[in-house]
Amino acid sequence: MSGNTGKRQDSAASRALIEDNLRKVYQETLNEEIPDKLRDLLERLRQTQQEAGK
Amino acid sequence: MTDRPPADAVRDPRDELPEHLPAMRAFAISLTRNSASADDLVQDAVVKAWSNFHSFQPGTNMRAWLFTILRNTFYSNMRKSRREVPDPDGAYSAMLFEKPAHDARLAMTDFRTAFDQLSPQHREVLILVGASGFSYEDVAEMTGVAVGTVKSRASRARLRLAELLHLEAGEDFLGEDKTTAAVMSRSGIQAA
Repeated sequence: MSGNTGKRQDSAASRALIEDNLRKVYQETLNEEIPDKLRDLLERLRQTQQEAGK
Repeated sequence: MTDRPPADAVRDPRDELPEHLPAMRAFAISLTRNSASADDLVQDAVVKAWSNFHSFQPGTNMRAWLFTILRNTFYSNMRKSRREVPDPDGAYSAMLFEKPAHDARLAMTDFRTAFDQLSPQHREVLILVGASGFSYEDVAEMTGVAVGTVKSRASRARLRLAELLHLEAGEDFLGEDKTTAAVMSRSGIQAA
């Protein structure tokens, strides 16, 4: 195997590693519980909208 | 008789907002690098989105629309606060970053530390393209730049991340897209 081929393989592996870790980092935060304050905010906005529509 | 549902039976697009909250929060965390700031950012973006739903086009990508509002709010807040240390080349960040200790497997903590050293623009493009699954075209529309700019920005972000992680970053990092390679080449980016 030539040096260039080895370098290309390392580079491709590095890129795959980065993409994989990016997905993991994003997925971890996606799986976190949504804080109550954000759910409460949506509820308040909904109520305000309903009251305005009466 | 008509096949069309009555007007009041049509789903209000606001009803879809809760299902986008986890993704908005994940994107916000990637921008702010801080959960509390991310929650404040999502809160601001949700309020803006809610009061501007009349401008949302039903049938279009709501997540992209929400992400656009979120990122605009982030950059607007950043401009106001001016708390960030200007570091366009990442030189200051590089000074702060120590070489990660890794063997065959890259520790997630090392990755997170390196990711946090990237500029907001680089974190943004990697999350949008690399993790959220948006197309380059979607991201171009969301960020208000050309598709080629998004591609070159993504390539630069990967290169920077590889640099910070001391990974081999050869020509594969430029991707298969010839336009991107040409843009990178013209702008003087060298593959390792």
